[in-house]
Amino acid sequence: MRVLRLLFASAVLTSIVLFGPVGQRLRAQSSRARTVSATSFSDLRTWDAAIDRMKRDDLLRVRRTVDDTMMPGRVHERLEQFYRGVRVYGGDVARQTDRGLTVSIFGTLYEGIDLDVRPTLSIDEIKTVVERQSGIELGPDRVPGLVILPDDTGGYRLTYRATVFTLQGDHQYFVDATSGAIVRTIAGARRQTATSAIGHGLGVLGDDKKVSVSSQSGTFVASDMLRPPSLKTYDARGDLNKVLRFLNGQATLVTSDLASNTSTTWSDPVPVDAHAYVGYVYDYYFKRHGRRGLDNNNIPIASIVHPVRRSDLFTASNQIIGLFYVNAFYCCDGVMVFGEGLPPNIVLLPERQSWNFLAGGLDVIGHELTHGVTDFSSGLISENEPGALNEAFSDIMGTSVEFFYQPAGTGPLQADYVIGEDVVTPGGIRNMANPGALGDPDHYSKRFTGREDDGGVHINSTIVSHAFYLAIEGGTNRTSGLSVQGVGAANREQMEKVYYRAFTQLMPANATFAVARTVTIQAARDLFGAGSAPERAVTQAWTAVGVN
Amino acid sequence: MKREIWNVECAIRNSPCQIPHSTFLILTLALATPTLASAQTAAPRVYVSVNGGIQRSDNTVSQSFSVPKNLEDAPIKANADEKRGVLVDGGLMLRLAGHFGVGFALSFLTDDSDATVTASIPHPFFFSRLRSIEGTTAMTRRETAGHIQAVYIVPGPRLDVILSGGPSLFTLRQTLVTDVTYSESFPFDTATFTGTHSAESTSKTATGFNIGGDVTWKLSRTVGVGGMVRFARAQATLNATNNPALDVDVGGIQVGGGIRFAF
Repeated sequence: MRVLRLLFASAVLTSIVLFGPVGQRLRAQSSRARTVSATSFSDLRTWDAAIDRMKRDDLLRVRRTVDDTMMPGRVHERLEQFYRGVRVYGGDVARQTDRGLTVSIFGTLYEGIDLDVRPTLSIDEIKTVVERQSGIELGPDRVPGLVILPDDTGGYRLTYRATVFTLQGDHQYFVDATSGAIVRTIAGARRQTATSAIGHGLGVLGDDKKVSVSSQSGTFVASDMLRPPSLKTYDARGDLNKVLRFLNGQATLVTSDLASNTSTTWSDPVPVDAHAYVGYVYDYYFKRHGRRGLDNNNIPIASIVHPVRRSDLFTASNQIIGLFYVNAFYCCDGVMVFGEGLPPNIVLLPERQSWNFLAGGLDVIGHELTHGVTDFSSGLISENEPGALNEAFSDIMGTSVEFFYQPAGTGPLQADYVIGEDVVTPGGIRNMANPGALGDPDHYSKRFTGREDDGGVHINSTIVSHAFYLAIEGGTNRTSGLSVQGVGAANREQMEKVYYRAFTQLMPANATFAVARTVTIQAARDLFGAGSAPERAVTQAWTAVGVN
Repeated sequence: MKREIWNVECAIRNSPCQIPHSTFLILTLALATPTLASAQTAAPRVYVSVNGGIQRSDNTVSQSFSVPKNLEDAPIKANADEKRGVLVDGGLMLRLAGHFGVGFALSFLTDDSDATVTASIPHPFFFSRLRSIEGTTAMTRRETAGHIQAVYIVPGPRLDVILSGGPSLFTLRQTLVTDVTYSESFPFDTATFTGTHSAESTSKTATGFNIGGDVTWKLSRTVGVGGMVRFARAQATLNATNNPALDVDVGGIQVGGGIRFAF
């Protein structure tokens, strides 16, 4: 068997694949960030008054108010922090009310801001800076927005934020609005590795499945017209430049770019799985949680398959291999790209794993789409602990989707707590039941504190997802030795609802693990009552993984 | 008792002769009316009847077929009981010699009934996940039958009795369900019956038999009123889109009354 020796030492590659380096210390949050975690009557009264005052003073603006789909009568209000009309990055509050009475408030607010919010540089000048830095020309729709960025020293900077898609993935550039200096870059962490008609075809693993497509001029295209939102799967046919241009808003994908077939029996397994599984994930969220798509308002979802050709593997850079071959990612605004995998006779060192088409992993697709859900709900920031929570929630929901459709087991097309095990063999990408099996931490004391992987967002996610596993299945944490009485696999739905509620309704964007603990416990109380088995399981699980 | 002269003596003496009821009926009627020889000059040669009535039967139409839906077979069943229909009947009989003659009757049956329809509709997103639907649909049945008859005529001064039997030729026009319609919406885990697609199928001519009797109460020499009872039966084969060949029973017990003419 031929072995492709990729340069895993490459900082770029290690930052974008699902594995990552370990070591170093987690960056501390700004000391001027104030965490809001109010569930007691006295705290709620204090924060209610403060929030109302800040709303009056235009320091908080309501971003969204939604009715609770799980508990009638409850309403979730999400507020974003502003300073003199400029958004404060990471400052937001989620307030839950029950028939007008506040039940919980979680969030992060930044204090002591004193800035002149008039930018010196124009938007065009900022675009020039970003284009020079990224090497990517931004389309007219990619307009940088003004934000106040808290920095690591406790200060604040007026910046423009621009999102650019490069071969390293999507990047957020924060450019000083006065000097033009790039003060922070956040690599995209939201990645993982006419007429209605029904078609079918074999998926990546050879299983026959139906796909909801449409018929246009005698050809069947991967456009789902049965589900409420537009779900389309595009076949890039290896044209990476086209994919990049689309992701950067410089080109649009049209009907002729849709994956297509001349009969209802589809011959290419990749669009079959991508298209079917995106639909499955949408259905899971609707049936289990009453959610209508990523934004709960049926935003269209576009999936892109075959961004590269396997035949081009040996001429591709490590960056391209790392992102478009052995990865899948949620880009933005409902767009997902599925990696091509590696040819069957190629394995990736050092794990000697084979990588099939990423579209063949139901949990992979569940993971990626959940990034979209997070984007439109909590908006968890994509670095450090909030970023790890973001990744963990994607793994949790990806696994939940798998259990929703597949029988429990350890073989192909069976549900388990390993992410990507159907397409990355052997072993998968992350193991929620035993994170250490793949070198990931199962306890807060083992967390990665370096800067790589955006502060270990993928690495540290297993601390959170392992807690989810323990809360369901029970068991003993290998590091702490503490045992958890889980709710049991038969009651999996309880824990899925607790985490869904916590991460989409109550979680603030800049949450730490400790806040996530409080939020999930609150969610368990909301749904099942204080002292209930789910609340006990959640609490024990967090304690077992060292998050208090 | 001299059993060889059973007919007259038993009838006159009202004694137990142990003869079949049908024979007794025929003979009683024969004895109660003038013999054909004595009434030969008045006996008509042509009898015409027009009847309205009903047909009772235990006929059913049971369809079981499949149509492709969402890449799988959707099994469909439709069952209709054709218990009673409205009958119009006309007959012409010729007395050939003595009591014997030939006849031909034509009957038309109309039967409108509801069929119970059940179906299992495959899910659009998943294989082997069927959704049950159920409803009713109107079915119409039109039987046209020609009855060729050998007849035995027992004329009387006020009452004519005609017994008949022979082959029958049936043609059946029957509404058959060929598909179902349903409503569904996301997430498509259930479906609701909304109706059927149906087609009228006409059978080839089916051969059966008929046997019956007709009684006429004469109002005048040529006009009377009467009643008829006939049992006719055949099996017809229907074909319709999506359906396999379907064998159904036609005919039944036909009871009617109407006007009579005799010439």
